[in-house]
Amino acid sequence: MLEYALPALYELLSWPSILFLILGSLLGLLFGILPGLGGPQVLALLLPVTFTMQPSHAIVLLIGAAGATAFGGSITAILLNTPGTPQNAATVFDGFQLTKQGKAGQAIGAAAASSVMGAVFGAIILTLILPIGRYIVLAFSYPEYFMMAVMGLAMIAVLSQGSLWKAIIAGGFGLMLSFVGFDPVTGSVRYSFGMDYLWDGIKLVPALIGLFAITEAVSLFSNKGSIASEKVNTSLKGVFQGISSVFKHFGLFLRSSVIGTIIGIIPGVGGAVANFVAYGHAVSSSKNPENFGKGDIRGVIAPEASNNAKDGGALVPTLIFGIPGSLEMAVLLGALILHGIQPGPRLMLDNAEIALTLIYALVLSNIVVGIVGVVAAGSLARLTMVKTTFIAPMIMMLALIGAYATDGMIGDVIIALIFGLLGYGMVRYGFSRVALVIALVLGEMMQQSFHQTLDLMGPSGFFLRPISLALFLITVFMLLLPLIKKWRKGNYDENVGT
Amino acid sequence: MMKMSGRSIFSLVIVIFMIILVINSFEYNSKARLIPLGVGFLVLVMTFLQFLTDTIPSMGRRFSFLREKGMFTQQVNDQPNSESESQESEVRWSQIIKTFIWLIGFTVLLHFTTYLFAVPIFLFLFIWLAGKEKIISALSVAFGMGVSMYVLFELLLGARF
Repeated sequence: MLEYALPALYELLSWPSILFLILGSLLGLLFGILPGLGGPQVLALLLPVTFTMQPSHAIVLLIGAAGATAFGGSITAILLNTPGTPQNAATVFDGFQLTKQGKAGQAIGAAAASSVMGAVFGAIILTLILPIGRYIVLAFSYPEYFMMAVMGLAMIAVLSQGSLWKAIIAGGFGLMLSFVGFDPVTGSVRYSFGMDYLWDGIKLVPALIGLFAITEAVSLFSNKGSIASEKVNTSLKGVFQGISSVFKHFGLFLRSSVIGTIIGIIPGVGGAVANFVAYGHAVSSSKNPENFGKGDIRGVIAPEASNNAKDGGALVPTLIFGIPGSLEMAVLLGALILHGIQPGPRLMLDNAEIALTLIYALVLSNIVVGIVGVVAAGSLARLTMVKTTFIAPMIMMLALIGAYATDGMIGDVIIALIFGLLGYGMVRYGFSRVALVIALVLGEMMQQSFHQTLDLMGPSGFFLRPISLALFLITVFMLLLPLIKKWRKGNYDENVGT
Repeated sequence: MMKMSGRSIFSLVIVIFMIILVINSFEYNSKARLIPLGVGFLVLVMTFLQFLTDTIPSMGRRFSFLREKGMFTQQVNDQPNSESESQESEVRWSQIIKTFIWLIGFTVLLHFTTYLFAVPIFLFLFIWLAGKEKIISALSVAFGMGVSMYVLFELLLGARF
């Protein structure tokens, strides 16, 4: 794989790949800055735009956007007391306090440096793991792919935020939606209800556009006014002091990056978790935790390092197993498939240069937005003053025309609208959209692996192979884990009571 | 005592949808329906239980395992709304439905014309009437988006639809 290292880097830095990278990064920065929008939205909107591009350019554009949203969100978190994306929520605590103390520049500098270096850290870990991944992949066959997908879905449910029960329902619902259309195993057409449009199944692009872009735009429109209410502080003195503070607290930066990478590797667990866990670690490992929440620069360094390192981690299951490590990776997976690149086991063997391009693009996008963000943070943050009654309809139009551009079929627009309404209901009533999307992506692979295992090895094929059996046992354990914890807590409370 | 709220209606819609899918599964051959029937039945039972707890509050106490949270839950607003929140919720839903009706109108317009016509018209009317902004502002945004879409899709991407 390393023989592709230099050619992949050369390809990325040449024209027009570098243009697409910069463009994607700037778009990601913009979407990250606007609260309510983020990685899933910008990727869902960009996906149809990439149809006519070469696969390598499309991937560079998308990963550039995905990698940039986290830092964009930190700008809003620091300057406006509002996280630009969920993965910047913890950055608000100390970031905005620094702004109030006139140290916005220091906070932005620290966020920029942490973001870039965190992304580099995640990319290094990814680069080290990927060659080993090839050997793991060769040991996998149909039963292992099936069990891996089931375990991935179970993980998403158990590790989700919110109701576990509803997350499982959402995952099951997503699986059912993935069964719509032509079944390649049996040749049947399922759940088409007499509509030719549904013979091809539920298309991923319109579904993603509906679930994320339409849902958020409709929510934004219903909250009239501007997105943020705080006045923007545009003085950014102290940027280099902020950058140097990352080196001053290098141990914390490293630990936070490790946290982010590990969390990124776990499928379905996103940057919001990484952000909070790293912040919590920074507080608990500090000799003076009472300083946090009052403008401690470490309260910016830790979460920002973590939420950028997680992107490298999220690429590990995505590239090696074809199981999305995060929501952004689920969209990226869809993009790879649309461009004829099959992620998962074959990617490492057939398209290793694509994997390296992804890694380089992730690092470079963070560098690009780190520089742009530091220079233009104040001006960019003013975008949040634009009224939602202007921004939301524009996003709706981009989203619906993007869905229409997929195949020029009005059915895709209708699907986007239906999923938009579904997505709004899911957000409102606590059902996990992540679980639904990842199940929608994994459904076909799961079904094919299941039938192939039955045909070739019979039902015992799932349990006689050691890796498959281990994955099954891990899945069962994970699903029972909340009940086990509850039972143990009940026993503990009983003992304490007596 | 049964209490229908937005939450329980949403669960009911999913239950009905799953019933339809499960019943349809019996039309396919045994291999084709194996996984959909299994998954569908499981999801149907789970969603029905969810509907019961959303509709009958006392059931929530009986099925306490339905309230288990994921491991990384920080703050969850999973409780049924109070009365004032219910009223706010109804108002919110009515705004959302109105927005979707506008979007359906846009879809119809798009189907019978082209996006270069439908997008500016929709934006102008939507921002002016639904967003209650000034006509000049609505016209500016509509014109700007129309031009941007033409440049992006027609000139840069060469898309033909």
